[in-house]
Amino acid sequence: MPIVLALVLLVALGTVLARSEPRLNGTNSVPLRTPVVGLRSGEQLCQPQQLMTAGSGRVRLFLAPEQPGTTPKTLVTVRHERDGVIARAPGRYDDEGRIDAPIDPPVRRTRVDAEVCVRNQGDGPVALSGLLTPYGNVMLNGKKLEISLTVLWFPKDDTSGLAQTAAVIPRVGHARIGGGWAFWFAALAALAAMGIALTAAIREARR
Amino acid sequence: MRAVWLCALVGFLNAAAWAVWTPPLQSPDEPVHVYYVQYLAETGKVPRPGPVKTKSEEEQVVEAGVHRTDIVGNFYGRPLWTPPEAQALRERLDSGLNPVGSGGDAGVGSYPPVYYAALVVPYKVVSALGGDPLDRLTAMRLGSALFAGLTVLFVTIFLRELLPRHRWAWVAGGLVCGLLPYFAFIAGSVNPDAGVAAAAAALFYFVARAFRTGLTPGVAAGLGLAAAAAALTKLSGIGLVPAAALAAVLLVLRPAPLERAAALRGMAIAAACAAVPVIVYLALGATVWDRPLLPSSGGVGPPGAKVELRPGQRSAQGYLTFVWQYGLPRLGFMFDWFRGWAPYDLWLSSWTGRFGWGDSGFKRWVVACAGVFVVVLLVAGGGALWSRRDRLRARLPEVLVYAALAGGLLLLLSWVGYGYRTTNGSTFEQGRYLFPLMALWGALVAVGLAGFGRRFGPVAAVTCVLLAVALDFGGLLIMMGRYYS
Repeated sequence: MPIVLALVLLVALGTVLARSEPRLNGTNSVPLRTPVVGLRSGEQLCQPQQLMTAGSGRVRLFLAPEQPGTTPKTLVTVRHERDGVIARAPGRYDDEGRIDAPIDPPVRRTRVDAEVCVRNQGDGPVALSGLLTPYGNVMLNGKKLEISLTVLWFPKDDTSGLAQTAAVIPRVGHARIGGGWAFWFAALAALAAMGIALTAAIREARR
Repeated sequence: MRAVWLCALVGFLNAAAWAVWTPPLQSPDEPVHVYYVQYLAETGKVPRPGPVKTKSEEEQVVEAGVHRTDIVGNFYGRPLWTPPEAQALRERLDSGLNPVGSGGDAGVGSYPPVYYAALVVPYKVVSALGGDPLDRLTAMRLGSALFAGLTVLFVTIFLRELLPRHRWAWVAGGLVCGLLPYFAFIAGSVNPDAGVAAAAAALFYFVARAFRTGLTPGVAAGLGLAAAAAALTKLSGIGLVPAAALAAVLLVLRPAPLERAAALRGMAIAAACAAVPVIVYLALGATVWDRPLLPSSGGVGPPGAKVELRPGQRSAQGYLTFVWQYGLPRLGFMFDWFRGWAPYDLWLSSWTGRFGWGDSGFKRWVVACAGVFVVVLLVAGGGALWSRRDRLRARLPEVLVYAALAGGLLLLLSWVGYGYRTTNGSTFEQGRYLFPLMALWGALVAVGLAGFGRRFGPVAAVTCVLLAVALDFGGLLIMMGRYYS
């Protein structure tokens, strides 16, 4: 029975790790709370000082048309003071209130001070979502607004869980401003714990 | 004995893995516990009730720098992922920030110091080696992981006392405790629940040992010290002390295999070992630290403004219905204190695996499977106990003490939880508050496995450990998805 169970668990693990899906490449960690700003037709707003991660092939914001049933038309621009315009593309809207704009070619270098702008190219107003905060720095019509927009970055293509491991390894280190040892230490410790436990249980069962 | 050490090693390694895997300060209340250790390490003093503003400048910079509040409860929040972000925080931390907090309450102003004092050692060692605040946090977490190893060690030898002839069962019981992802997650962060779990596991062991050997001087000293350690590690540990006293009294009334005089001497040793550390703590509190023994408001933060309660909800009847719902289904006439059924939706759900600040965990179907697993163990264990009821009857005083240990803890928790619920309007209880009962969780597993008999039991034990490995691995994958993917 344990062998069958082990095989089932391994197959389940393999299935989970092989599944390809969109995975975050970066985020400004702004909670998606509520629509925070309306954008009239022809208006553009910009959010500076954004984290833009290397390898990103798509940027996502959250937006909804103020008149239900219409499809917003937007132009998303990503730029950086030194790198210039990195991407300028129409935002692809989906029914879940998201706009995705492609970045082609993908971002080469991580920047912590990129600027993301959205222009409303449709006929009706739209509302962008994020957080109301006094630390916000969104600029609209020359005015600074006390809001932050949720901005997410994704790789160009969906990735499998296994492929994602390569991205995870350095992140575990960066999270504690340390080196890549962190991931390997944690992985070895966990695998050792599990290996010792299974070996001990099997040995006791055979006694 | 080798198997016991292996179980303890599994507990430590697993908690150590979680300690490094969990992003900084992404564990319940970790910032205030870090504040306590840092204040104690830097000043030699403990925080005391008073102004709420507390943390050191250094810790505040760390908290903001690692995006703690941006991540908690925010599905799109992530820790530092990139070298430029990490470098920016490093430069900020290198700018000579003050590591001394203000010594105010922060919700831990009345907490006893044993656990925090133990973590001063890794804090100081890493400071001396030139580590930054995040290195110190990792070191403190690894120090805390040692408590996980200690807990599993005591749980395993407790189970060995319970089931000496079912080696595979007590080993599996210890291993399952060591692999519990929720326990590893909490014990792998800075949190006194790890410390009180170790002290309580030791207490369970010494109670079991005392009922085998009588109150010999060594066992009596262990019993007393474990009771004192529980009370001086976390306030909830006080709930275990009456049962420890009950054990000593019962062992004097039925002193075999010792003479009554020897048992009385043992009780005196146990009382002295329990009392001396507490008296020293009280004396320090009254003279050096100038702080009260107990918090005025349960030590759980400031009360909320207004809580709407139904008539009679704040009453003796209200409290009784509250306690009832800790373990039993709500009856029609009772107030609705908890969301869902507490044993399942509160206790089992979190013990199966709840991570971060409670904002990630296993899906409902996994909790349901864990529920089935518990029921199977209960049935198998219940059957085994029923078939050996004559022997169990002879051990009723011992069983009574285990029940009293659990009951004392639950009564104390319910008293604080009821006060919190009727004052703040929110639920106080969290699964980790039951870590002092880890020995009983291990007993459920071991006795349940023993119930499968000598033919099927060993296979069931391997299956059980394999499931525990899968749960632990699943927990690590959840953490990977939540914070790093």
